[in-house]
Amino acid sequence: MVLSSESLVESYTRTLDCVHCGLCLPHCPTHQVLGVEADSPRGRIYLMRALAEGRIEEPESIRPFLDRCLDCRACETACPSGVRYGEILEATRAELERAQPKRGIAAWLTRTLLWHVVANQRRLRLMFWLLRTSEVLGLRWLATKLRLMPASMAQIAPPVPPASERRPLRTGVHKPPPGTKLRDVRVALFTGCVMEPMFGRVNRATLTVLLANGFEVHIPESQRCCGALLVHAGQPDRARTLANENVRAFADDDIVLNNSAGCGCAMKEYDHLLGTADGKAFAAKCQDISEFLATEGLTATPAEQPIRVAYDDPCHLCHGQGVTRQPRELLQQVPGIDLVSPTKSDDCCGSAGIYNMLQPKLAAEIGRTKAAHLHECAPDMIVTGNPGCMMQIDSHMRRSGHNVPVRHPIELLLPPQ
Amino acid sequence: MTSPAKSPNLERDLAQLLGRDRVLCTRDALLAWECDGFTVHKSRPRAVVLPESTAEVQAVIKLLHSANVPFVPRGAGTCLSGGPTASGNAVIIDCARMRKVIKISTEDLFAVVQPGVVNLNLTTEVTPYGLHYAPDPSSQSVCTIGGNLAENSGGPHCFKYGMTTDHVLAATIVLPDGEVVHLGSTTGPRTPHGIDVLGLFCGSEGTFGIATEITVRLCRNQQEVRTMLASFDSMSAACRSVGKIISAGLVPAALEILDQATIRAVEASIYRAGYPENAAAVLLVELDGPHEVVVEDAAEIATIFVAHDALKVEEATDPKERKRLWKGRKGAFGAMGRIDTDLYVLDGVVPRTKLEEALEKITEIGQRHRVNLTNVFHAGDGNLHPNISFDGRDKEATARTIAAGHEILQLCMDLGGSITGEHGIGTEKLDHVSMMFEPEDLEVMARVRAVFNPDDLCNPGKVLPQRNACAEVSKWPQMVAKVLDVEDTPQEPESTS
Amino acid sequence: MNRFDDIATWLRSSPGRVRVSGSGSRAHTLPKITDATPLHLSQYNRIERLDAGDQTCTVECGVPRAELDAALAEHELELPCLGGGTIGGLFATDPFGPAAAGCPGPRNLLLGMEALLASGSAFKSGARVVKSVAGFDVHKLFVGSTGRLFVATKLHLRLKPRPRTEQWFANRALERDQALQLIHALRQEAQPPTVLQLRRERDGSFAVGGRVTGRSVHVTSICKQHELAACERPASFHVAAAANSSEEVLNGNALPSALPSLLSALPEGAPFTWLGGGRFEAAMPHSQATDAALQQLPQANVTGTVLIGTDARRGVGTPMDPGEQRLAEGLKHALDPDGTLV
Repeated sequence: MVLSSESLVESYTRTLDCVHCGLCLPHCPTHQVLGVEADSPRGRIYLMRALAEGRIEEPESIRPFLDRCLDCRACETACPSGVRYGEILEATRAELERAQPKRGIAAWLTRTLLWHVVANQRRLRLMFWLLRTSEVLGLRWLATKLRLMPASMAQIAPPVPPASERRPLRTGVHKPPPGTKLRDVRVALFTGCVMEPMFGRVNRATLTVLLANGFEVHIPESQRCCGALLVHAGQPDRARTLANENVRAFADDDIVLNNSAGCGCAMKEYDHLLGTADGKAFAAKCQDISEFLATEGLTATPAEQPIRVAYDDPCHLCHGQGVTRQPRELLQQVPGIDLVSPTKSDDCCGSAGIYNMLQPKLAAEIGRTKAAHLHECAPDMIVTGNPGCMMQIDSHMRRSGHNVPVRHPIELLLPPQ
Repeated sequence: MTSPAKSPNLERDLAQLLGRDRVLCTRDALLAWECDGFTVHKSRPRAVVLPESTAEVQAVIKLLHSANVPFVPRGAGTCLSGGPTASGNAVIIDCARMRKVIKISTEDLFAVVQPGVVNLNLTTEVTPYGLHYAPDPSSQSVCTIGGNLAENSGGPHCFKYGMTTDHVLAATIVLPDGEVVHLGSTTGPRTPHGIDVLGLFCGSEGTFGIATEITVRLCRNQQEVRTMLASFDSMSAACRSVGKIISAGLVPAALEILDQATIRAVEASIYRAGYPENAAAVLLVELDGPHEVVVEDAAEIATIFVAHDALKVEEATDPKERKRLWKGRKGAFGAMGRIDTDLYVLDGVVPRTKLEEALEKITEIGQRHRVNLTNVFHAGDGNLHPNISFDGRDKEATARTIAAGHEILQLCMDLGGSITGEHGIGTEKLDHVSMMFEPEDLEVMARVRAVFNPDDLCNPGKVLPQRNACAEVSKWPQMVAKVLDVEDTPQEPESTS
Repeated sequence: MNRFDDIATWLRSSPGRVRVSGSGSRAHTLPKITDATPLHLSQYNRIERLDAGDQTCTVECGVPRAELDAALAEHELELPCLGGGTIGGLFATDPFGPAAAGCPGPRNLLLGMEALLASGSAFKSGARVVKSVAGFDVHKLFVGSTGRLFVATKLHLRLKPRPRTEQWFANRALERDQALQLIHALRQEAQPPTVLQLRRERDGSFAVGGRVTGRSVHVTSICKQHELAACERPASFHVAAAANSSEEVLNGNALPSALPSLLSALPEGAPFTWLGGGRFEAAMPHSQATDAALQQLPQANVTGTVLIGTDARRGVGTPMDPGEQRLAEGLKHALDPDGTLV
């Protein structure tokens, strides 16, 4: 294989940072389950390096090992040499996809879903309307049959919420309610693609908390999906289209907040994805909601929650953005809360974007382990700051027979009604 | 070396034993197993199998033995001397899925584990009982007990607590012909009337067979653990402090030194521990024992530090603070990855009375060969780890690196030491073995190996040089030539854009 | 000229069967061989090297333990294992193993050696420094070999600093359960005694003895807490020393948890001693009693063999793993194919 892109040459050079020490191995969810070197960060980097060096005879044969990676970045946190694994992986996936696009119904479906549905708010809403309607009519199984919803998705996804909860937030500028102590800071809110229809309540909570704490909130209408799933699936060109639109949509804002760790991580990497000054400037404006609120401080005391709450770190927040302290600090301010840290809270839950649809078996095994660790600390509620993780954890808690609500941290910061 | 017999159906037969999921033979993917932490020597295995029990290992070995196919045991692949590299188109028997802790005895203080159990996981598992597994190689969060047994691994705490061989009580071994034998017992590695076969097996670098169940001693956690970090403005002052601590009869749990270049690499990595970057050396001392004892030891050591003009002394008993002081040491090798593309981790031993002299000469050797050399080492054991950072794509730099490494090992021998304290011979030091051993010594070792491994099917090409090479005094010039001419050094990829 | 060249030359002359001997203090525990020529190493008694700073030394095998101890004492060092005779004999027979759990025994103190094969060819193994993993640890085979694999000439040993304070103790006239409780309590200590021994005397009473070492603050506190009775260092740790000539001595390894079952497998009045490192000895009134005990030991996870008895009885014991035995025989054959060393 001939290296065709600058980013691949760059990523090849990055593979050389790896000294093959193996300290990443115990942090890799797939290596933990499979025990296979080629399914570990060290092994994958080695294969990607070999690919770049032209030592791989049939690139397709190593693709399953790269596909099984969750891109959770736990290895980056563990790596003493600072290898930027995610960038290497994404560049290699893109190159493989370019050289030989994946075939088969799953690949077609993935591409279609990601580009024509997920990245298109109108169609995404339509899909959720169809799903909801079918559920209401008791036709969820039909939705699965018609491939409106892949079988694995059907297991993961909680029921689609009613239309009232799926309604998107009003775009434009929102002002804090009268009587609120104003902060003189305007922030923009990135609302995300799946978050809107699936967890509309989280977006509403985010808006409410920001306003209650005295911030003016701008929700640009022209914002798009962040493109993270496309990057992970090796389609950076399409991701760039979306990224550029987002750069333009938020051009007038200085602070861009998001409440989805996966999106936040991807947007902080626009610098690398776009390679432009605009991309760099945009990346620097992005913050996770917890980062922002922890720095600014809460002025509106959250409603009392006399419950035991387990906080689980989304990979793209703790490994991808290095944010671990802030959500905990904020949650500690909830009156009455008993905040606990489950074992291996920074291990991946197996959600990883659309991973649980593409690698259902492996994702399920990883999800089971996560559910077991969470159950150990007997929480009344689990909180985590990423929609995919919320769905995956909820699904696996339910499947292991534990009925524990799963919430986004921001939902606990809501002031009393 | 035995040439593998033609057996096109081997992969199919292996899959029949273990299932297709646990036999990997995708040619390209097998590259991931072509080396361990010693990346200079590469050899792609013929296949990789992942057994989960003694019976499965036995079945696999019987099959390979009857097909005359060589095989190599592998743990986590963190070995630094090429031990688990599959020379001769061998099949790798990967123990990564043999990770069950079979038994823990809190009364008799032992644990029985499968070989793929990660060293640190064993300690984590027994922590609730106030116990730990003492040998702690720097790679302890990754490396496996099976690999530790094969290599007789050490670690910072072996200064006080001994190497792996001092902690292994028994092992179930599958011999290279498929026979299962039990060496030692929970009551001790050798019976009063037997010989110490287990002691011989330990450190045989996977050439005597594969251990599938290992019984290790557990140690009781000490009442108090205190970590001290002293920085010095010269390496020799740090070394002299170590000499003084040892000769005063103090036995800290660990005595580690990092030089300035290492400190800087660590401080630039995620293992940043807040070591003073202006110091020429830092000395990390760990004390453990009853509270009153630790307090007195610490006071005495602090006096020694003052007498040797320490710049700064930090002390911690709080686990979190201690962890920080250790963090830089534990992550030092990984942090070296930041200096250049490749890292050659040397491993030699000198008598502890020769530390200062050795360090001075090593610096001189590094300068003479114009290599980027750093030192981080187990000072209490005299076990040096000079690390050379280099760019493996630069053949001339690689040759200089190898030449400097060779001279350093010769220096260790000249000072009355050893060519390896804990990394092993593997393939890395095949050409250095003759510095330490005469052909007669190697002949005896070969005879001993033949008792276990008569057909040389198990991990061939390791530890002992090929017979005809034994007589040569030194082959290092040829080795450099080999690197320059034969070694398939990867080329910078071409960009078409 | 190497001091051992004459031995090498003699071995090359096919001297027939050879028995290596040190001071002869343990000759009665070895099988009696009438036609073997003794090879006395006691004249090879030089301490070749004593590196006090490195805490290592190299000694010829014939150096008497007492002489080495005296030399080490000058440097505030010691060889922290039990046993007397010559150093070679001590390591070749390893009569006690570790003196307490986690403490070094001969196998942990032997760093390397120089030796002669039965054919007269010289070789070496290991290193002089405290840490080395170069080559296979052939020297480990010397410990417990009773000189039957090769003739070790020099040993490289690891030394330890003499403890700042030491206190020998012996709490006598205890009931069985009292004694076991004291053993258990002492083993629970984070820094337990470095020699720990349980004894049963002929009168059926038990004693717990040993040595507490370390800083005086620690020694004092342990002695006080467990009410240890101070005493002089015992002359011997063997039960064998006190055994009648009509008695057999059984020895083996037993874990602490096996002590109650081991004691009940032995005849009531049989003198018994157990070291914290696992080794035990028991004086058995007659061979039937030994055989009966040997029947029961495997269930208690205890190994045992007749150490002292008639020629035919020595070596009778609990079964060894056949695989380990085959390897041991293989090693003997590989190193001494003609069966010269007996």
